[in-house]
Amino acid sequence: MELEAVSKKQGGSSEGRSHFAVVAARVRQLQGEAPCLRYGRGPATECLLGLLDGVDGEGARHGIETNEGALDTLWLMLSAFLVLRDAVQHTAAASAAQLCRAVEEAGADMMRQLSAPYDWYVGNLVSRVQRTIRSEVHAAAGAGEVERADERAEMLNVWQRLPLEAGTAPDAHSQRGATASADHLETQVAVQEALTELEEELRSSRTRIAKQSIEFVHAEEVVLVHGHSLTVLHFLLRAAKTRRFQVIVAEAAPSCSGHAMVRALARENMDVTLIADASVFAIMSRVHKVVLEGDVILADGSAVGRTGALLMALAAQRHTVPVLLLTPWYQLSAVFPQDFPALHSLHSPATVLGYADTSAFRERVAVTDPLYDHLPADLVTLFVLDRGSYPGSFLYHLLRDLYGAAPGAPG
Amino acid sequence: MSSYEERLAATERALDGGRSPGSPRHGRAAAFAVGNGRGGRESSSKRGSTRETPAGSDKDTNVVEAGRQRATTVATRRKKGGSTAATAVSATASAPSTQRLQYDDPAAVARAEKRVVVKRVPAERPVRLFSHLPQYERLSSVAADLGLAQRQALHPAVVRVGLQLARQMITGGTARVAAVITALRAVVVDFALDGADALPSGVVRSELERCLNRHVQFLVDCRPMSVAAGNAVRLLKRRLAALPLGLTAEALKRRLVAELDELLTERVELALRTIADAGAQRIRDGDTVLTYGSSHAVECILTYAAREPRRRFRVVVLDARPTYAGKQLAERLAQAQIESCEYAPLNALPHLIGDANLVLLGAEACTSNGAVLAQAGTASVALLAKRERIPVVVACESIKFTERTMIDSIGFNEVGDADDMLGGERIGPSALHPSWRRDHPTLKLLHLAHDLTPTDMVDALITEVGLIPPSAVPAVLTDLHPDGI
Repeated sequence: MELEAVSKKQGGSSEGRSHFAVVAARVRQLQGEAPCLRYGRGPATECLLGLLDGVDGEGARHGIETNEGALDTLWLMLSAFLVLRDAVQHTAAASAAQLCRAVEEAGADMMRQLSAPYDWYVGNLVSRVQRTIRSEVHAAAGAGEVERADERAEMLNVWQRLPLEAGTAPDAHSQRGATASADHLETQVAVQEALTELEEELRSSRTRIAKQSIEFVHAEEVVLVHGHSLTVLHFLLRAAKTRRFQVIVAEAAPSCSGHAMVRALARENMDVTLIADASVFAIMSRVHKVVLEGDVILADGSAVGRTGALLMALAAQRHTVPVLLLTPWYQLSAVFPQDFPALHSLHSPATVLGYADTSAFRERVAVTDPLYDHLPADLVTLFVLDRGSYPGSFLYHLLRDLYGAAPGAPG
Repeated sequence: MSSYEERLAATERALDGGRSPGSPRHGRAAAFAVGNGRGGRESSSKRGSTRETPAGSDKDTNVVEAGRQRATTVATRRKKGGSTAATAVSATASAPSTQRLQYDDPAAVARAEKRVVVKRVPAERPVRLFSHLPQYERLSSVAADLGLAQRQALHPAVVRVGLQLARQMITGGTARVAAVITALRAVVVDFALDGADALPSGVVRSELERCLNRHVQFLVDCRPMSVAAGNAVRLLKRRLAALPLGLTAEALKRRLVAELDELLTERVELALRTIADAGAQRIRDGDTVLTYGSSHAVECILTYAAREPRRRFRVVVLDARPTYAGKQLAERLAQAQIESCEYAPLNALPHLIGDANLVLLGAEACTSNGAVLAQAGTASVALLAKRERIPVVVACESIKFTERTMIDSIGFNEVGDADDMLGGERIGPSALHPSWRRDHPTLKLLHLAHDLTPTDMVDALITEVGLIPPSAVPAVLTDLHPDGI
């Protein structure tokens, strides 16, 4: 419901940006607090909700409550998208390069306010918007010229790599576009339409992933999930409408987001069992499927997920249990894993060993609480995106579809 | 052929040959083998209902005569092949001694219920997957459940140990077996029978055995016995049965206390010392040792390695909900002058495994098919360590070896209190409320105590008999206990 409220927001770019600033502040606050408070409503959250009342009214509050107080990433993405759309609308020039530059700046501004993995999402959204703009501008510019029809066909060919640098085709088109004002208007309209389609795709991504659940979850199956994830929750609830199956939830210590997940599932009267992460291997021989949501999907088919996902995926591989990774498209990143410590963010050790514990032992012991795990590509059976399900070996194609060719690639 | 059948066959041969049944041992053994069907031994529950104690008939006759008579009766019954008692005995004689009571068999459960000392409340929300295991609500207060008469019949040391076990104040295989042996020792030391001098020693012996069975049943009711403690109790009964006849009550008690002391000293204390020495030899300066949960054997190895001679190595202790056993281990290691200690949740393992040279784990039991039953989560640690090609070594005393074979973590396990899974303040406001049974009718909480690490994920076991591969467990068992355990 809050998604509709957000998209109804019209108006100038400054309002969109201030709204996004509020959203980013909420994200930072949720990430900065110890995870034991992440899913609750402390005094800081109440204050923020008060702020949101002024911006969004009832919608945002309701959204937060139904999500067990968890951050709804889709809400963040939609807010970011609004900012980018405003940036496009308020840019005077019509050339693809200038539009892309405006989008880039707005995106960089937003990414500075966020931390991993949300800045990755916004970065991917920026790339997607830029790709959309370029393809629409090229298509619109090429429509008026019959002799370039074959080139346009080439441009629209999904295998074709589009140039990302500002040097080549866009400038030529923009010069042509500047002379014909009708073309300019058409281009603007085409870009706006494409962006509206993109918004619709964003809003429905979770629903479209959930619709595929009946192909994967069948009657009398036991499904194992890890911690709390709205995508996985909607996926399971959609299948539960027509089929009876059991869900086992690993609690994902030390944040124990699994407790919120079992509450949400038990509220829908599903047969759900909560287990400790330690029991994942023990229970795996009775599990039929593992359904996870990652945080970031890397270009080689490997995934970055919350801690505990790797141990679960390894146990699943040992027992030959298929692992499904539900992936909203904005998690796909055109980055290869090289030196992984870059993503090894650590969380406050207070969740593992409280500050109130004043024994001498606390002085002499180092406590580690990492946030993320890296799942190698061979552990994931299938990536379930909103547009379908794919193996990890096909991700390169999806990346090209979504974001265009890699920067610096020839062509 | 089991040892019981061997003894029975020997008795039959002796009877047929017209000789007295060999040494008194044969008759006695037959008598006690027959008598072993009663009592609260969990592993003998398969033998069904309690048998009438033969003690009453021994009052006036020589127990050897009684043994001979009983052996004759049993032998003739076997020859006739008809009597239900005989067939029951022979049927149960052929069942493996490691078969346990399966709790989804209502008739067997009802029979076992007659023997319990403390009535446990069945769990309100049991997990169907583990319906073959006992699932009870938390034991709130023993005093309330025990009748006064029953309490008077229990030794206070045993009551105390039972409560400590039930409330998880004593955890870990080594601690539990030491506590059980110590408690039973107190029972034997304080055992007194009115007019013991006048009674034949067979009566005293059977009374002592009944007393021990009652206390063992109480401990089992408080918390199912660990594998090592079960082995110790069975060994004790075997040694009691093997003691010579004609001992006075005092002499009997003295011998039994000596057996118990020997059990504790040799199989637990000295074994730990040997393991510590052997394990410490494998730790060098600059190593990083990773361990999971809390194991006394592992702690002994690490403290020994830090002391003699002093080595500088790093220890990483992983821990898991809901028991947080590793926290106390990390605390004690930090106090024991280990160079550097780290403490992390189990899920941090992939982050920390890159630095590790050695993964040192404890065990609850080592099975005869080479698998290792250990604290839940151990299998995940061993799995990732194997994948990263880091040696996985399990430190385990031989008292934890069992003839049982296990292929997964489901067949033999312990389901703990469901309410242990509630996080409470540690998790914060998103935690489940203690009224979760009422709020969510379809929700179940599963607290599993153990999991099974398959053979291929364990590189070696450090035991007091040496550094052995996990597949050598049945051979060691046969060497140590030729008559079975």
